[in-house]
Amino acid sequence: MPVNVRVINLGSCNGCELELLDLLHVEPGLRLCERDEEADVVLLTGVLTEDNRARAERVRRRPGVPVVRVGSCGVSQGLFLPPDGALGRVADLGRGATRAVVGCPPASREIAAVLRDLGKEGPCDHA
Amino acid sequence: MRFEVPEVYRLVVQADGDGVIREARVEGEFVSRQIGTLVKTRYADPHKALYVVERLCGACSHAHTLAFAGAVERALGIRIPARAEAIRTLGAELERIQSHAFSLSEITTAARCQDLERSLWGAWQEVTAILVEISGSRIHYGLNGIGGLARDVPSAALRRARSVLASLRRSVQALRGGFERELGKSLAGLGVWSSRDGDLPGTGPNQRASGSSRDIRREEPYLLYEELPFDVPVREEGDSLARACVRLEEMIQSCGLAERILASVPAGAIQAERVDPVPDATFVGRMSVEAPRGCDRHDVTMTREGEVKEFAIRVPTEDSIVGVASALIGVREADARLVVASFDLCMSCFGGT
Repeated sequence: MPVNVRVINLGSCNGCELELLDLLHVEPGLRLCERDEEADVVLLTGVLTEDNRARAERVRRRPGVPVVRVGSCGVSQGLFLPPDGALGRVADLGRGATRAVVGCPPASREIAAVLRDLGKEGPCDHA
Repeated sequence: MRFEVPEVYRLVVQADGDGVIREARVEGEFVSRQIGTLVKTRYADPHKALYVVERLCGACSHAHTLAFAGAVERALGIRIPARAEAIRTLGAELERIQSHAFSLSEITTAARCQDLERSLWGAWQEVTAILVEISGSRIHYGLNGIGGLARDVPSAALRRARSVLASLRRSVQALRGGFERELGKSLAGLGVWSSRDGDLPGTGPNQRASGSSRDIRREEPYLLYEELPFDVPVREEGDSLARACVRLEEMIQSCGLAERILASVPAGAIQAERVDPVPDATFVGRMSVEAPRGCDRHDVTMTREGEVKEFAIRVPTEDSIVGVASALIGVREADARLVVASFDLCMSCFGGT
């Protein structure tokens, strides 16, 4: 299981963040880090608002660090998916993402299960 | 705040040579999801709009759907049945407990009081478990529907909730002394919010920690609050400690309120018989609720076909943002984080609209 978790909120309602806080309590080995460079795994939440697009691009390009899309917004933009794609699609981030956890929001134990799976796979090689 | 991250909000301060803040402001519209526009353009059917309104905020989604459904019902002249009123009120108080437990877990983390933090998160987990039994969901409960409830709640869950809440109330009460003593070491006297004429904008625990007794549940009673007397915890100090203590008292208060509601939930229908506009409907509705962070106000204008034409939301953090900027003046830069955490800003609500 990864240890240093970087959560990047790309326009979330904080529902996923609440479950992630709960995750820190049910999996005491995990720690939130505030800098991208320290991260063993990056979790993306939220609908990808225009203001956060540049940041999302940077995350995608970091090699060796698995990216997990968390929540319906992170996975498919959920209710916010624009019919014309005007806001940009989080699906584009899928190229860098190794896992997705659906749910609005997914419960902490569901996120934990995905992180545990990642730990079994060893280092991630995608670019 | 542990999620004090550049993509959500930015605290801009100017400090003098001694590291004392002279100017401060909070910026944070980076998570703008334009929910008001989205409702008008794509989810104008109020039944569908509820789902997107609920997702304004993970911490106070029930307050938003309460205000939205209430505004629509007022605009169309719909009256909801007694059972729906009781369950809606219950949801509001359980949400307050859940939200304050989360908020206090943030401030106790910032103040490095780990034992308290664990107890408060335990309270979060307990109330979340109750909410799951009642609504089937941990965060977005989906309880409210236009004209009543989206679905009925199991009676067995309501019976269990009452005994769990009584024990939760006692365990939060037991925290009181240690809470004020431990947090007082770093929060007493820190980041005072006051105004010269004693009149602070809005309502909410931040204002009630600075001597204001305003509470929408009292000022414009809705649902069961008219016939449900309760004390409004108020502190005069206006510092970060008072803000935390008011929230702890409100948790205890809300447990008691929820227990009383649970003692007599009426049986019967959960939905109004008709959700069409009544003949003398005004098609304009406003509803303010006392969300965990203060006054949350939704205004709607409906079309004759019962669709949302205009929609405006005013969230409580709009008032608290003013408070945090004022309270930070004179605080050392190193303590800014504690003061911000004590205000429990919700940037998802603030930026989401």
